[in-house]
Amino acid sequence: MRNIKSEIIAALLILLFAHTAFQKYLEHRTFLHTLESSTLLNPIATFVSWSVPLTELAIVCLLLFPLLRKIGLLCAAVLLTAFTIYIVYMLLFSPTMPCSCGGIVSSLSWKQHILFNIVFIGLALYGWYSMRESNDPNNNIAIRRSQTPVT
Amino acid sequence: MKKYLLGLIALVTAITLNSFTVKTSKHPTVTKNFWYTAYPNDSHANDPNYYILTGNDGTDDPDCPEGSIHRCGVIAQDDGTGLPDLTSAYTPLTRR
Repeated sequence: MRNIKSEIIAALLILLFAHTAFQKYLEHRTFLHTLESSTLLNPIATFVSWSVPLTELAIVCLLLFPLLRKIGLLCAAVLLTAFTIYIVYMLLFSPTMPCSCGGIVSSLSWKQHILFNIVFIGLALYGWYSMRESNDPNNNIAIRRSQTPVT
Repeated sequence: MKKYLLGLIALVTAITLNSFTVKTSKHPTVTKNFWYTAYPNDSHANDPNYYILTGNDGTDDPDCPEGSIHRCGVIAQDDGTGLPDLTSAYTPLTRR
């Protein structure tokens, strides 16, 4: 059964992750320098600079295919949560605040960026939850109306 | 195919948007703020590769906090690649 809500949410997340992933690869040197200036990520800056956009593109692939969309929505929520935790950590403990977000997200202030992430985490979780509900056989109208037992 | 339509539209839009997020200001007299990423090691202070633009395409202040008197950043022209042009006049910033 087609779930329009989760499709729209998945499309928004695809737009967000694909855009930021391509931007990180296009400006890879800037992204790498930003990570190197972070005391938290400096030791693994090179690894993170390649793996984060790759993870974002992997989530895009999961979200594109209906059968994998549920996992994609959950992974998107987890990744966005990790990004938000990193931003909060940098706000609290880092003397400098470079931004390596990518694309239009770079134009947001830090508070706006956190709010932006929280909204998308909420959307991803809502999309995942609505897919869970639509997969629940107790909510399937066709089964409830059926006169004969469904095997 | 309908199942993939919205997702494909979003993907194509994202790729297209990247064409419109290139740096808009390549005017040579515009100066920008850059952080020095090798603090407190001042030996790379003259190497542009050890600088990075501050937020909002270099318009945010570097906000050098309290600390040793070492290079914190510079206010300089962008050489067109997101790095400071240290061959022209620039303003060094230090952590006090």
